Amino acid sequence: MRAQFIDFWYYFKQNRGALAGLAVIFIFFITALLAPLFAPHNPAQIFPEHLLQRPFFFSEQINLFLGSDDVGRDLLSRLIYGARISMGIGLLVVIFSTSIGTMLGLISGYVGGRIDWFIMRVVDMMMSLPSILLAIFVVSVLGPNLLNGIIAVSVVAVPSFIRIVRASVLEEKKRQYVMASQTFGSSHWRILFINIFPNVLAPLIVQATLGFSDGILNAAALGFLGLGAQPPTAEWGTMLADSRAYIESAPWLVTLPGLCILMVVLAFNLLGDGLRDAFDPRLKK
Amino acid sequence: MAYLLEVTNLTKHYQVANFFQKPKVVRALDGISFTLNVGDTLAIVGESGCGKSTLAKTILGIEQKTAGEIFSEGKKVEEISRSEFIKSVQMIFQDPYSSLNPRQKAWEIIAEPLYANLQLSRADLRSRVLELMKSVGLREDFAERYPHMFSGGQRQRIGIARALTLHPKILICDEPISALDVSIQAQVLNLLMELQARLQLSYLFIGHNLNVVRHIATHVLVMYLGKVAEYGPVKAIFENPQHPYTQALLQSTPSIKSRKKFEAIEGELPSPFFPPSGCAFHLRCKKATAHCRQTAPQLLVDRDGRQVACLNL
Repeated sequence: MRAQFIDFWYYFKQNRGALAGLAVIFIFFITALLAPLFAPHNPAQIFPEHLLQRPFFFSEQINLFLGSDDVGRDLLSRLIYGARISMGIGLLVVIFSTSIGTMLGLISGYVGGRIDWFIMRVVDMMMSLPSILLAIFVVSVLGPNLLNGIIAVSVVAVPSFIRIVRASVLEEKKRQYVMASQTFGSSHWRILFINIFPNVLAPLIVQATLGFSDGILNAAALGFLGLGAQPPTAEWGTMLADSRAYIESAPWLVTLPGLCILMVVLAFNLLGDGLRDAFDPRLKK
Repeated sequence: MAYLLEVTNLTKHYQVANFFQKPKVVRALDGISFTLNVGDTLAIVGESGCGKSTLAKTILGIEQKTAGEIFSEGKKVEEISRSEFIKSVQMIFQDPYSSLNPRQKAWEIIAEPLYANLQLSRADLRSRVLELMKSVGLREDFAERYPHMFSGGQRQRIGIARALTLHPKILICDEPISALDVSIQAQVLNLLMELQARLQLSYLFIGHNLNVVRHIATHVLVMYLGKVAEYGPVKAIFENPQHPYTQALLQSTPSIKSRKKFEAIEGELPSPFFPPSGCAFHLRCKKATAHCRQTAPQLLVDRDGRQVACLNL
């Protein structure tokens, strides 16, 4: 186990982009975890004398470091606390949708027959609806709050995972090593999880890292409609959406949360690429 | 004495269903019978699509047989447990690239049958794997490597080691050398023959290189469209072929000694969806008569167990 990790790290660290991604994610995670230590103010505290305060590089006023929003809340504090919610949303969405999608995809591809038919028709139905419409439907059934928003966004992401995993399983099932496992009497469990599953990982990891960013963006969209994070909770997507009216007069309100989302999404995609390559023995020497 | 492996009247039909058409029956195997003794090598030859690989899968139980019986040392396979049968019959695959899991190290691949069938400690497992690797001519330090780091011949040796893990009595070799470089083919073939002598193995050797078959086999089964065309000892088949298909196959085999022109077999293997009437080979047979077009030949078995299916003997 330890040797495997050293091996893994050796190949992982050769990918500069992935290392940078890991570093960015690490910084964001620490920030999110220790938000009360880093944030200069309470994210909900209102400074009525400082509405739409400019950030430090546009003004001499450095009390509110990155400026303030339309009701006078400190933007930096809100971004730091927002990291908690947004990264948490991304992580939970990825965990929910990846685990459910992978299980269903493995079953669908391996078992085949009527079960496969049934799962794929449900997936077709889910994919035929616009994802945000489906998410709104789920939230309106469950009730609008952050957790239900996360569940809704996860549900919307599941079909693509099922499809990707199923397609890879069908591909691998045709290979002779699967038939070889049958000839020496391996159990279905062993064939599916020990033999086939590791060969399905590469596309799965890529989709999972993309799912993280999709999760944040979809949750933001729900927040925009008032169906996700409820005010005054700081969440990047909601902050972005709320401040779109000020895009000309106070561009930092839109730019800074957007930059945060961009950096996290980019970092996760780089990390995903690195993970995929480090897990692939075909690229090892 | 009971044969090591006896197959009688083995039949495998596939129902091919389609939404728009009525279901069709494909007769992939139709009444195949043969026997295999300890130390023998039975070569199964025939064109692509004649049912050779289906025969291997059906014997191993990966495909369910439609009819017929398989006896292992005199007992029906249904009467012995699956794991016991698996331990006595193992398989070597054609493609050394797709038959090894790219995510497993060499020793894990070879140990896979042990995981499935026995409870062994990791150390026992490993020592047994290293022993096997040595016996197929792989160095010990190859154990930690992944399949893509090996050449085709080395990969095939890993496949052979894996098939030997459970100490089988019979190895089914599905064209084990046809995917290898010519220079490697002889090495792997020699390894197979050496293992046969050392471990008293019996082979079911599926192949289409007749020179190799002549070299390695003791018996030959010629298949055509899922049926036995001819079956007998290798010497009889090669020196005195009875069936026109066997004769044609032998004539189309290149040889260095005789510089005669090959006679290619005209036409193609008929579609198993629409098998010809009468004798399946009559469309391509030079000796075909009107009788052949109407009547399917019975398999004639002579005193020595030799089988021929032809009306014009």
